[in-house]
Amino acid sequence: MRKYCDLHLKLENEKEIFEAAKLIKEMGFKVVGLTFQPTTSIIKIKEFKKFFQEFNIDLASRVDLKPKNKIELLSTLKKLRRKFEIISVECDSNKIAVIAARDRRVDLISFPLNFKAKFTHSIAHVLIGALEINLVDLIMPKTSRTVILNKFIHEAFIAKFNKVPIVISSGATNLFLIRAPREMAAISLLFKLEPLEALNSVSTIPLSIVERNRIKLNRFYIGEGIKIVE
Amino acid sequence: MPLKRESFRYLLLKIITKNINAELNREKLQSALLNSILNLFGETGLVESKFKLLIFNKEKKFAVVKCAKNFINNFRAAVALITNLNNEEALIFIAKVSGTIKGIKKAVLSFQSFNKKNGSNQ
Repeated sequence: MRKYCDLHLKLENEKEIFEAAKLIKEMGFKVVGLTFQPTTSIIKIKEFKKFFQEFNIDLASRVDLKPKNKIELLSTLKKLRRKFEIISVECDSNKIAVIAARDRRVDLISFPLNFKAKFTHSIAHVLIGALEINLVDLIMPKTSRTVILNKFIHEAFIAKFNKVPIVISSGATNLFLIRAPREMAAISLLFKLEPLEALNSVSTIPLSIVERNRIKLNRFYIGEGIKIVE
Repeated sequence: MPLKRESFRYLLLKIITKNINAELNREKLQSALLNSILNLFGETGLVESKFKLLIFNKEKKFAVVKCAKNFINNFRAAVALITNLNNEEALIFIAKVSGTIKGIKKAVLSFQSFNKKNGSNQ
């Protein structure tokens, strides 16, 4: 059976997070990524993980970076890579996008709606991680929905052309913006993805990112293909 | 050549509103669904959908709708883009899809017993 995953929940209110766990389970998710502040303690993250475990949901810790320049990006990556399971970079300029795309420590890159940066073939060509599309922009549109839909179609086309994995996440900032996995896949069909690609972008692709990073964060991991055997 | 019979899908929709005591009615839900399909797929899409609201339970906050089999993914997308019901922040999600009305009725019964067991209206 397919395991569904939503890698981007931006819930800040603790009470809302606890309410979300029940809803997420009912919707059929097995793995969720919850955004934490970079300063959040590991103990707090473990507490949340334990709580979600009670609902049979695997929680992956995530941090969203919004660097202003190259130095800020590299220094925060150095600080936070070992702490969080998923690192996403919101690219505010094409310069940042190229650096983030080339860096192995970055799992996901996304492009905000301010159109300061654009997902281009040159970025897609060097991208090691995956492209993230946040459906919250489409569900609660700040500008015209056609403009947003056009942006997503363009991004999905470039990603498909360059064989870049696409991750579809809700990006929910409150409980009412969380969407069921099949619904998320159905929305991504609007971006001209094939049905199987759409389902993979809410299941196998995000899951493989989480699993890969967990292996890397394991204390027995040394490098690619090398690990300590007891 | 024999005429191919149209096939449909029956969907169990679950409605969650921010205000638990929010007044919901059949017409508001129907118009929200219709408008969402109309906005996203236009009039031809609405015709293709063959959408019909069959059951609506105000207390338990669920509904059963019927739509054309070929339109199911589009219908899912249209449902996912609804954020408001009766000027109230709301979330609608598809809890079950079935090919027969009998199957969806079974799901409705199990859904009701699940709610009773948990003592929640959500």
